[in-house]
Formats: sequence, C-alpha cells, structure tokens
Amino acid sequence: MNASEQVYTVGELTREIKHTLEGQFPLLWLKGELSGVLHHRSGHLYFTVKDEKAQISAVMWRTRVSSLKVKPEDGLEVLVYGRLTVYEKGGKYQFDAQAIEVAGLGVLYQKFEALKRKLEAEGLFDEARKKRIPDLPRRIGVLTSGSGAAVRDILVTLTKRGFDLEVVFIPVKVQGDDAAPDIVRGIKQLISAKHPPDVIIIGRGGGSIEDLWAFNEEMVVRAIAECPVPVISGVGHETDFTLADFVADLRAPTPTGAAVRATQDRDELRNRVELQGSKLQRSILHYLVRLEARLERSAGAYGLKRLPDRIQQYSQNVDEWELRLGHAMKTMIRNSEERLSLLKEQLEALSPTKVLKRGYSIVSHEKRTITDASELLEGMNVELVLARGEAGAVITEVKPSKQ
Amino acid sequence: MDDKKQGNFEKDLKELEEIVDQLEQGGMSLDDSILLFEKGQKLLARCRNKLEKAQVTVYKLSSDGTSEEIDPESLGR
Repeated sequence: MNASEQVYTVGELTREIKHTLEGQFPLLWLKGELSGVLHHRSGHLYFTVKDEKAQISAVMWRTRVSSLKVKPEDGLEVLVYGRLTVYEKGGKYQFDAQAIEVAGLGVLYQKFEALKRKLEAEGLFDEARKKRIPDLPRRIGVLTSGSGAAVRDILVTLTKRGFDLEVVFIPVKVQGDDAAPDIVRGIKQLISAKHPPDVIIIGRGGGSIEDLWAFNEEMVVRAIAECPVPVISGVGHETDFTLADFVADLRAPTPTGAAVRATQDRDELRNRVELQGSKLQRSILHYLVRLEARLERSAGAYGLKRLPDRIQQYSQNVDEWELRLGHAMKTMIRNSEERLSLLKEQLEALSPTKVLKRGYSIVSHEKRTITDASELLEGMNVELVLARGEAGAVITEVKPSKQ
Repeated sequence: MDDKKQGNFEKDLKELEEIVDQLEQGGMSLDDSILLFEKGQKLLARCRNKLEKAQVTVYKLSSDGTSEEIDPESLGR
C-alpha cells in the first residue's frame, strides 16, 4: 500500500507519534537552562528547559519534587533526567523529569556576572559616584510599565505619602528586546524636560531573570550612571538584584519601597512641625520665668518703668497666641492650655498693682517715671505711686548706682 | 506647580527650627526674644497651612510629549 494514500485519524497519528517519540527517546539526560519555573499548588513543578536554539516544556510530578536536592530557579543551568512523553489529548509533548542536577550556573547569569565585573572595573558602581536623594523632592519622575501592579504601587504610595508634589510618569516597556532602549528613551525624556524631576524612580514588578533582563542591559546601566538626576531603583522583589540596582543612587527592594524612599511621610513632617511649635512655646515661657526672677532681684524701681509696656505686649502675645492656637490642632490646644494658664499667672504676677502690693512704689518727676537715681537732684519734688494712693516727696539724698 | 511654595516649606521649617534653637539657648534681650517668638509663630502657621493644603498631582507623559493628569488608583487594574 502506498503510504501517501493512507488516511490517519488524529488519534491514530498522535498514537503513532507517541510510540515513535517515546520509543526513540528512552530515559535520557537533557542539558539546558531552567526558565519559567512554576511551583503549582498541586505540588507539581512546571518549567521549561531551554538553550539558544530551542526549548522544551517539562513537568516534574509532586512525588519527585519532594525528593529534589536542588532548588529549581530560573536561569539555573541544569541536567534533567527523564523521558519524553506525548500528551495525546493536548497534542503536545513534554519532558517528564525525574531528577534535576545543577550543571553550572546559567548562561544569563554568566552574562550578568561578566557585565557586572566590567562595569565595576570602570567604577560605575562606586559609592562615591552616588548622588544624594533630596529630602523633599518637588517633582518625581517615574519609569515603569503602564500595566501591572508596579505602576499602581508606586503612584499610589507617592500620592499617599507625598506632599506638594508633582509626579511625572512615563510608561515604558520593561520586558522584551525593546525594553532596554525604551527605558533609556524614558530617562532621556525625563531629564530633557523643561522642568526635569528632582529624582527618578525606575521600577518593575517581580519576574524571572529573563523578565528582568532589560535592567541588566549595558545601555540601561550606563544611562542610569550618566543621568544627572538621582535615580532610585525598585526592580522585582527583595531578593532580585539587577545591574540597574547596583548603579542606581539608591536601591529599594521593591517598587513600593522606591516610592517610600523618594518621599517624606506627610505625618512625619507634621510631627516635626508640631514639635517645633511646642518647643517654641516652652522657650518663651523660660524667658518670662527669667524676667520674673530678674525683677525679684532688682529690688526697687529698676525695670518698672517699662513694665506697663511689657505687660501690654505680653498680654497681646498671649491673646494672639490663644487666637492662633484656636485654629491649630485640637491636641495642640489641649497641651498648650496648661502652659497658657501658667503663663497668665506669671504675667499677672508681673502686673504693676501686684508689684506695688509687694511694697514697691513708682517714683516719677513731672510725669516721667524715674528708674535711675542719677536722674534725681537733691531737693527735687517727686510723686510716688503706691499700691493704694499717691504721695509727694522731696529728695534729700542722691546715691547714683556705681554700675 | 508652585515651585516657590514647596521650596519655602523646607526653608520655613529649617528657619523655625533655628529660631527655636536660638530661643532655647537664651542669652537674648527680652524684646529680641519676643520678636523671634512672633516670627516663629508666623513660620509655624505657614508650615501648618502648607501641610494641610499639600497636593500630589500625577501626570502621564507619552512618548510624543503629550501629558495628561491621571488618577493612580485607576491604574494597573
């Protein structure tokens, strides 16, 4: 019978393929690089074994996964022991892995290491090169993919924490061959803008070493190194390190982390402001306490001349103070009420009538208060103001202060 | 974007901190300290005011240079 005339059903042909393939390829060692490693919740391990030319899907069933000695990871160069199987229903073939052994580090990893050494030797990762991240940037540039969780994480975090801030987000490709030039374009677009940002965040969510590869491309690393604006990287997860992380002025563990590092928390700033507010109040109280002490020491009329003025000033201050505090936060008011009443007590203690009641008098001559004995002459008529009533007096002796 | 406004907050806060330092150190005349105190109160009010009015605006800039304001909450969903 002429083979070309034979008609197969799909099932028949697939069965033939299965027999041929599985018969042709008994148990064997397959060499390649692990990629797309997926620990399914069923316990089975799905992955791809690949090299420069091709790739084969593979699966390792749960019972074998538990006896694995290596931790299957993307980019790992491995020898996989198993056999080829054909899944008839899906029309697919896959490698049924029974064991995995490490065959040296993966090709991408070697590429990564080689480029890292080269750029390190050029000094691109030197701490001395790193620019300071501004405390309170006014404008933040964000480069990440327009889709996925990273962009939302970054922008929402910036919005929540940020304060009087403009964020300029440029969507760029973060995966695939076009990604590296697109990221470089994004950096250039940001820094050549009319108002360039004060800091740039470059971010991407987690993924395999292949997914993150754009951030290991030389052109991206160099663009970050040459960027005049400080760059914060937040690529992948905490455990992922890309060359972009090494060259960035600051490496954040995740995209959200990058947004946190770029901003100062509004609440923290508020606390900082309020701390100064309460210190300010305390400090002026100290002055008043000191003034009181000085008045006590300088027995007599010294300092009394200007006292009414000052009292008025202080009461005004207290009034204004209360007024302003009235608008301030409620907690602040509660704290300051105690201090205010203390301050008022002190101010009252300084009022002229109180002072006069303590036995002091105000001496004046022709309606001018006398605070210095040198202003007096023997025989001069002066007026005395006492706590209760007034009196006239004649100076019989003048003893000017030696000070 | 009001550049001055933002720049001033940091400046105001630093100045406020300096004033408080000065007042805490003492050694000034009473009148000077009152003046400084009042200046501190003004700075404090300004800082508070700015913190309350703080706004974050997010713009999306396309490769063709056009920009539009966006709401971050609506992204990546």
